[in-house]
Amino acid sequence: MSSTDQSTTSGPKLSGYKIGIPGAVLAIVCFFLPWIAFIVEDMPFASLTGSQIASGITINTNEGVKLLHGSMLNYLIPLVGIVVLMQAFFAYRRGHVSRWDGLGTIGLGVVTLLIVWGQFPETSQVAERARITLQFQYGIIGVYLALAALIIAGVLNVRAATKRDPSFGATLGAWGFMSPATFLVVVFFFIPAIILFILSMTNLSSSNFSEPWHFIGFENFRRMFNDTFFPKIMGNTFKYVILTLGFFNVGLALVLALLTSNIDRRAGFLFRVIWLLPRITPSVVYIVMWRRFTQLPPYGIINWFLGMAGVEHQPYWLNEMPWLFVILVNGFVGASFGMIIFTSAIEAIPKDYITAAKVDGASTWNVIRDIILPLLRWPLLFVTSYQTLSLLVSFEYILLLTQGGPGLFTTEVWALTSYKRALFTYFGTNQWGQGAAWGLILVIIAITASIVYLRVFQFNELVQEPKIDVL
Amino acid sequence: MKSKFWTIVAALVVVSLMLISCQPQTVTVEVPVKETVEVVKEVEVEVTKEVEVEVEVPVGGEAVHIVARCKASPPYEEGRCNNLVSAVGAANQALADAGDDRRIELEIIQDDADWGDYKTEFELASDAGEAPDIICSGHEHIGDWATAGYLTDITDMIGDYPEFADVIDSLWAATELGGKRWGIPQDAEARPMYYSKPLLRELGWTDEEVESLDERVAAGEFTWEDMLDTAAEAVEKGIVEPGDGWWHRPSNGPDFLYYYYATGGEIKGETDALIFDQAAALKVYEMLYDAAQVRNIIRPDKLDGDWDYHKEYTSKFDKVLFVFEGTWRWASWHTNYLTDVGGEDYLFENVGFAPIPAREDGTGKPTTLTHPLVYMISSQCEHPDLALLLISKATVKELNTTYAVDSGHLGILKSQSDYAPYTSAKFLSLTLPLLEYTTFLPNSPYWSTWSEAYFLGIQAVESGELTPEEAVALVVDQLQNNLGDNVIIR
Repeated sequence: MSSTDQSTTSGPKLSGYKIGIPGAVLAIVCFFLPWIAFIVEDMPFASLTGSQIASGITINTNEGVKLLHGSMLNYLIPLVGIVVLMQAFFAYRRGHVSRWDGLGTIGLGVVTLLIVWGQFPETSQVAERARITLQFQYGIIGVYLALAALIIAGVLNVRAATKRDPSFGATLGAWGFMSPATFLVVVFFFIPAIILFILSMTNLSSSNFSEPWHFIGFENFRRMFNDTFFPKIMGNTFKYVILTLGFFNVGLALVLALLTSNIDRRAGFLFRVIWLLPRITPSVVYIVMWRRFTQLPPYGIINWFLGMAGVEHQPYWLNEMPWLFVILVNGFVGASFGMIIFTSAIEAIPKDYITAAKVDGASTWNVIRDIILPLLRWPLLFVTSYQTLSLLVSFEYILLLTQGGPGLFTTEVWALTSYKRALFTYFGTNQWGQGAAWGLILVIIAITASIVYLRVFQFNELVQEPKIDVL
Repeated sequence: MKSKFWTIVAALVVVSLMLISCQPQTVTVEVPVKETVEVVKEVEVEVTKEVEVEVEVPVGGEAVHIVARCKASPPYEEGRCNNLVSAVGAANQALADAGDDRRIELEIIQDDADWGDYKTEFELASDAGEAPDIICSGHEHIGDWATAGYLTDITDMIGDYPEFADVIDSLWAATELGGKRWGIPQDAEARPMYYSKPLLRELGWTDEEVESLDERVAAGEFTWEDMLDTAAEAVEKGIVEPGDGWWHRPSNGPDFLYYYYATGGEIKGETDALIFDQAAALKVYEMLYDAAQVRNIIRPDKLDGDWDYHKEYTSKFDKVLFVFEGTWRWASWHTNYLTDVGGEDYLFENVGFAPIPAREDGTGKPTTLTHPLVYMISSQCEHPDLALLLISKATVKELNTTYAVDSGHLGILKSQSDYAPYTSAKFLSLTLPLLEYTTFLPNSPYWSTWSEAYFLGIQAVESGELTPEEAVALVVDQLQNNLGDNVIIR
């Protein structure tokens, strides 16, 4: 504790290296010194350093005892140690630590930690097979200790640099707040999109899954564009998205929000809860209900009522009107999302506006058209764009309900085709490359749709600070 | 502030160290003279049964761990992996007799995953180097797996195990690819034509005509065309509702391939490429178009994928005259739908079965199709000889008959035809001769794509969206687009 106090009283100069230099030294020592004897099946075999353990080696005990591969990573951690020592040296010469001394050390520490961590299961298996588990654990503890010391040193350096230059702290804070979202977007969108693109150039399938990827250029796209059903599936997708969105996810959602926020609060709440039921019902159960609903007599509920009414025509309704049911089934689930967003936005509108309008003689329709709807522009943009993208990639209800049928691709949408090509054929031959090509088109359509929405709704204007506050 | 910071840092370091030191310790264990082998059996995803098998390992000997993976609907089909468990003793005895110091210890993983998931699981496991030693799966998967190098070629090893000589010769064809054998048959079934005796009588057939129908079909006297005419007559006379004269399965599956075989279509030729015979396919599509769109024999929306409705509606044979189904459906009908009207006795009284009738304009011979499951040995298996030894000890009439009787599958061994426990199972012994007419799916990496395209044509003509000629053109287009040089259009 006293040493820390001392480091801050003597200025921000080298506070990080109080622990950083020992960390670097520890890293080097940990990775070079512990020579661990590998004993495989009671025979002394080899002595390895901590760095070799941490970086992944494989021992094959079947064909005698053989070291299969060493790796570049052997040199990584001592290298980190040397880099940090050099940093310390230059910082000492400079007389202060810079922001990059801090961030660089943290970055090096975290990346190395991730690599060692990723290698851990494999190396621990090797160690177990070679029966050196205890020594291996000491080695690994040393590795983690050294890396922890490095990261702490980096943090201290950042603190020192922030004290020297407070604006750096502000920048860092901004990046800090953005980093979780950035991380998620990179890991769950950019990287998968890149993998999808690469995959779509290969012929990866069940029968060549064990081999390295064969790149076949744009062959998958040629096949896709030449497919007889390409226009039909594309048309189905637009039909599905536009109709479901227009009638339910935005249309019905808006009507429900307006209605339930204009009646008694409790009754409104109850109705909204009822409309949430399709969303919270497990999708398979929900579809089983719909199938039973539309089934032939004597099982189908619709036909049961028709029978009571004396109607002769009692078909299997899913085959009779597949599109109606595809849109109803998805729409009933989708409407609740917009309903909640719109309701909260309507509730947030100051009552004064509406009261004032009514005093001026506005009808309910006038209030909705001239006050509520203009104030709902932002939630409308959000629900429309978000639900467009959701619908474009959603296929699970269609898969469960009609599997894209009846007949030839009657209700098959783009995402369903992509899924079927990649993972869903009766005889189980998966064509991942072909599926990826179909999926990639969807990514492109989705990005284009997002840009168009942002332009049409003038997103920048919507997020500007209110002019009244500026005045 | 400072002290807080350091307290947090110190706490984090201590916690990290504790976590690291919590790794399990490994203790070196000498191979014991006698050890208990645990056989872990997964019945459902969460339910795990444990069976203990005592295995004697001689001094200096080696206990070889073998993992077997099976898909089975519990409890009827569990013999797929359980028979391997039962065979461990005999296999180890054989090793002892041969003076071999190795002993097999077996772990089985058995559940009822979907076929697609099951297949993908083996592919991913193989890619990760963690494939089970033995996998029991549909024979058509050989097409993908042998091509991908996931399986051990056992052609030259089969002869070392006398048990395999008892396997019905025709079944071996299902295990072959590229002139090599990649698996051992585990079960078989047939897909017969079932018919309703009461409805035939209602149509004016005499008892003798009804009872001799199976023989007339087998002799090629009662043909596919006769069946359609009879069904059309039943519809016209109002004995069955329009569309209920003849039913096939409600979704894609192996069955539709024998329609193509029956019209003389071939799928495998000299090369690896699959064949699409336009003339044979056209006959299939014309027949289906005619049945669904012109004569009201089958419902135009029969391919709606609704199995529940299909099974229940066909179970009593009071509504549909002819049904193309599998032998396993027999057990499903009488156990699930007919217990209150007499169960299996009801079926024997009211339902007849025969091979699929011959097509006059095709091969002129009755047919059926078998889709055997086979035991395959992973290419990652370190002791394929032991895996095969274990399979050989499970491929015996005692074990296979128990499985066949429990699950409603056909036997796979010649010796079962006069083995009392098998012959006393009436339905099985009556349907075993169907294997004489059997055909198979091709083992080919292109089969799945071929089948999807061919099925598109069937959907198109039944629903009336395309004429038979247009359907053939569509299928040719799809095949050429997706398979390129790997399909030969005739």
